[in-house]
Amino acid sequence: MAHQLVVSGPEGAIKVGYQLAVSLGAWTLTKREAEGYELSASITNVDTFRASQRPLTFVVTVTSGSWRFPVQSLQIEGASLTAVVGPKE
Amino acid sequence: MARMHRPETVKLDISLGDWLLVKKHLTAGERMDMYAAMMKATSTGETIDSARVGVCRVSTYLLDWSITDAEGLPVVIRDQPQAVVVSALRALDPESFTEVLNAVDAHDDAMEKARVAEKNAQVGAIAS
Repeated sequence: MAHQLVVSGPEGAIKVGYQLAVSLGAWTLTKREAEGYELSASITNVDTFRASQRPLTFVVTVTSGSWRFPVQSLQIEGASLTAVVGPKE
Repeated sequence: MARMHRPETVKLDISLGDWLLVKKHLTAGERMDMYAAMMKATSTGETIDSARVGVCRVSTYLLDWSITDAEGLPVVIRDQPQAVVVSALRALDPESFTEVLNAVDAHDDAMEKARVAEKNAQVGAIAS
């Protein structure tokens, strides 16, 4: 049986540089067969201008700092976000 | 000349070998939020809370730093909520906070001068 790496958390963010573009609630990262991960998340707030800028980064705050993943593609539909992100920076 | 800037950063060196990483420019929205955070409610409306002015200015600009705690461990502020950054700033000794504030204020002044000079150069180029 194939195992799939899945990581999840209660909140996160999509940023352009240091600027907050999308505030995320619960999120899940699923390892892709190819490099990177598929991200799915609920959206709590969007800055529509910043969300239109590139490049974007998916950021998760952890005790020792943060995890940052480059966003390769992103779709927003209502209060849901899906994205493909690259390996952790 | 663009009227919007990419979110660039600048490294400011302070004493004891420490450094601050700050936003190169604030957007209009970031400046508005900064001033709003300085206000306090009174019985007759709102007024500036002078005790908040400095920490609001610094926390609006500050993104990261090299400052460590009394045990020499990094005080992590990168990507942390602003409340965490404010808490860390308030934990500095008063002289260190003043040094950080002065460095940020000097940077703010320098960037404003640079933006004005850039606009004036652009206006001059258009006029000629």
